[in-house]
Amino acid sequence: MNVQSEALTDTEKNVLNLLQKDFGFKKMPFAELASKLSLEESALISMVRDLKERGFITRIGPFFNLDRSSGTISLVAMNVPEDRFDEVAALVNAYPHVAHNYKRTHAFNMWFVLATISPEEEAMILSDIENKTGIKTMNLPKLKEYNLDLYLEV
Amino acid sequence: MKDFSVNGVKIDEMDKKIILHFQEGMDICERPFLSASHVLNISEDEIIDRLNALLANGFIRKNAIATNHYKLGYVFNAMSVWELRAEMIDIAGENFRKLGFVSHCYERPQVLPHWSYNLFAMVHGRSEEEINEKIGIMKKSISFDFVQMNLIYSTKILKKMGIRLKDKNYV
Repeated sequence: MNVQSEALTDTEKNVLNLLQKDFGFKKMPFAELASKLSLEESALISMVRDLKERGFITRIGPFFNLDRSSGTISLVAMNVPEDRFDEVAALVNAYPHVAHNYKRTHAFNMWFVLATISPEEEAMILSDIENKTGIKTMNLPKLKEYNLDLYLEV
Repeated sequence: MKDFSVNGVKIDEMDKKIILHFQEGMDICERPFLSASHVLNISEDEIIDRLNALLANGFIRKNAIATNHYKLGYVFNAMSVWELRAEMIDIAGENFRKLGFVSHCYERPQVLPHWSYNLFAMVHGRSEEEINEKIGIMKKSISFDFVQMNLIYSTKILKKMGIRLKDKNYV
């Protein structure tokens, strides 16, 4: 299962591990990171570009806490009959407000993240989905956040 | 122009421009904020100061890379859901966070009788064994004090895009 990560050199693994942690906003961020990794700045920059091209890095930059802005982000679950799954997925995915949607191993087999600008818009979209599909939506807004930070040791 | 208040902290039009600019990420070069300054028409120093202010007030969580789980071998992504007595939710949330390997951990409402799990914690692994091992550590961290729990694996990505701030009403 670990085929792709075996294609990484030890230096690349170190880069991926270190750069997943906050490196703040510095004038020359790569110079500072390179010295921690005992690399030349230019070598680090080429390596990061290459890792991005190869798809190991999907993005580099600030992570925004979107729920600090106005708007709502919720997790919504639906129990969709298997023979209607593709049809309902297409309908749900068509909303630009749906960021992620996963099929999951539970009676509630469709789970999507809905980001809207207001509780009213959220309610409107959910009732729209229910009306069009005839399937109930279960809205599970975040009540409290304990952690939001993904670090995957390579 | 309208000011935007975020948890009591005001951000202005220039902050908004900066946020929109960096939502696609920063340039991979010696001076990424200098290259951004040519687009935003403010100085490199001001961009860095404003980004640091946004970091300090919690609007920005970190400056870092995002990785592709699957390419790193993390092909098992489990949503662990826990039914806890109300007084246990905070304890479990805090303990799970401290373990370091739980990525998202949120309290969410029960929707009875359909749904009784009130704490969600995402766990990632390179194998099912790794997930089970991590879940074992989580159970132990709360002294096995839960009503019930379940592991819900994702079997298919139906849609995945970053949440975008393009809608100007959003920021």
